Amino acid sequence: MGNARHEAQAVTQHKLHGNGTSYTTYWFPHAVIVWALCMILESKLLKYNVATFAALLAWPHSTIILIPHLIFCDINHKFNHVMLGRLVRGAFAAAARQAQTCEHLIACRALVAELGGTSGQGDLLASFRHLSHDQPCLITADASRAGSHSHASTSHGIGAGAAYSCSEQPSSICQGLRLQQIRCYGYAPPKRRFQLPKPIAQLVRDKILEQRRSAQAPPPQPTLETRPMTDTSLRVGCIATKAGMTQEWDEHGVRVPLTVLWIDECQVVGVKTRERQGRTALMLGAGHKRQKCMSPSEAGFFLKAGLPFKKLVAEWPVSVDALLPVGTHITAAHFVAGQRVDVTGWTKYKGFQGVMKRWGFKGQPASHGVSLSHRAPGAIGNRQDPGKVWKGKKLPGCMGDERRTVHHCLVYKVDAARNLVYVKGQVPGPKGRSVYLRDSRLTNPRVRATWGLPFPTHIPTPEELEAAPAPGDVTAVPDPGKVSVWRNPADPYLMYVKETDYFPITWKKGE
Amino acid sequence: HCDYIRMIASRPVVRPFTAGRRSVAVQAKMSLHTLTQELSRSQLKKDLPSVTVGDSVKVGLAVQEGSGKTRTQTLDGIIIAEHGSDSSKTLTFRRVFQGVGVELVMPVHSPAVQKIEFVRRGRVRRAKLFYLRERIGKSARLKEVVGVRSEDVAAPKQV
Repeated sequence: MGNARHEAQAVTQHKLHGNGTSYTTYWFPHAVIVWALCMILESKLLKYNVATFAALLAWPHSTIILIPHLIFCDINHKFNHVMLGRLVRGAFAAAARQAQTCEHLIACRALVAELGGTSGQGDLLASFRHLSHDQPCLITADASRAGSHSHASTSHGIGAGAAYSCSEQPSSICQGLRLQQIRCYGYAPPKRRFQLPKPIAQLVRDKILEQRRSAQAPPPQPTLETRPMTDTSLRVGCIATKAGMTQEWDEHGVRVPLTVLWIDECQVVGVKTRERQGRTALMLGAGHKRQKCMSPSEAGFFLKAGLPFKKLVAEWPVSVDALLPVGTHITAAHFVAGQRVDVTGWTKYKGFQGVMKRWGFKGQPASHGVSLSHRAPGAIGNRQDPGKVWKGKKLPGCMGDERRTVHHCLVYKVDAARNLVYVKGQVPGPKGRSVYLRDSRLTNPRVRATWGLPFPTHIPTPEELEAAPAPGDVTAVPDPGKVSVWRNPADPYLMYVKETDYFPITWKKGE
Repeated sequence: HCDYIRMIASRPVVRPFTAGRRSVAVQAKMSLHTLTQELSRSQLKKDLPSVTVGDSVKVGLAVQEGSGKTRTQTLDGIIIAEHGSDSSKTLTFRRVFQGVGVELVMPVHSPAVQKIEFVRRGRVRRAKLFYLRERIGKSARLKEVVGVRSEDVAAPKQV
């Protein structure tokens, strides 16, 4: 323990402060001067001891002056008795706090020594000395618990670790004090900030990283191979971008309105299994997004999987035999011309709309005395019973941007080289927005088997992979021969043709 | 996405005056539009004459007979309106048949419209000649524009 005392003495030489007031060191010479002046000017006619008050301004360090003054000058003054008692108690408390501070420092140093291990103790002490020279003692709650001497920093939990020397939060009192110091002296000592000693912080960080790295290994990936499709199997879908609408005429002369859906680098991004996540699903990602435009957690997900950054990630529930490994590309060849799909999209945003457009209300007549309510909803309730408006009452509001699915859409044309899927009809959403494609669930499994879908997905042959252009290649010309179109076996005009044969019409030439 | 980028690279250069006014999203939408246009270009007819509103034309329509044969029927009339562009371009064709006015909206690229033959050009100062519906006979005539030859109107032969 003698060693500890030596250490304590060595530390106190670096001007540790027992309480939150550091300004007193600067008041010390001033206090002496003021006391001396008051002693000189003091006269026996005065009732109170002016010197006492003057020295009190520089409490507590000026107790060094006050206590001998009070003892040797006019003990009979009743005021002096009270002040003397208070000053002595205060001085003892200050001394006790100083001692506690030294003990805390020693405990902290012991903790660092046991954690640091091989690093030289002399270095740590030197770093401590360096720290305490600039800033006062900094202690964690660990040290305080291990030391078991502290009484001051008990209210703070683990990791809170408030600095002992500034036990209360920076309050307006401290701020006012700083302002006062600046106003009076033109200077205020620097504010103390909490900071763990660098060796301890580094050790804690290393331990946490080590724990994270030793987590369990990822599960095995499913294999990529062609499997037979059963009645209960469910294929994965696709994320596509709505590129626009066109029209075409098929071989019977029937006009077919088409929506062009472009599949932009759709890849399997994650696999979900029943053991780990409670369901069998595949996560698909599509599009591109810059790393700086996404949050670090998102970016970390793609970096960990070794995939390019995707703009949109969505999940499809699949059957167990339709699982694919991470990184598999889903192309337009995944779909077959003539099959039926469900297309899910978010509808166009219409903004704040009235009741007639939003809910299809009929409004009121345009004339016959209707005043200012031609498109209004009219009544929205009953009377005293129920005496309220029901929740979910159809009223004006924001319309659009809702998720809607169009079922059983026909895939008219598939352009495998350009990754385009032409769907007959309309699809929710504006141009440029992403939609989700899925094999239609409204079909009979027997009918679905006749489509000839690639299961679990279209796996490109090595020749196709070589022939495909590189991802960034702009000059490659897509092969128009890879387009497959659905041919309607039945002629829809047949019945008209047959009917016109009943009444043969002759057209006059030149009319 | 190579096609997408190719579209952006190959579309006509936008003047600097307009480039700053359109946002990135609008430019992307326009690129998608041009992509869709180019994709449907293979389905368009290449030998269409450049016929406008006011022209008298002879239109050859495909008519299916009961036996399954397809025959071409020629009709004379005036083009009184045109709508749309590219694959969805339609012409409104009007003729008076046995005293009754008949209008026909023809998608120009449909296989049912087999031939459009230019006859003469009328001087019109409107884009839509719906006023002709109230006129019959001599008041429904259009003044001819002299000097327009059918060779000029027909589509240029592509080598």
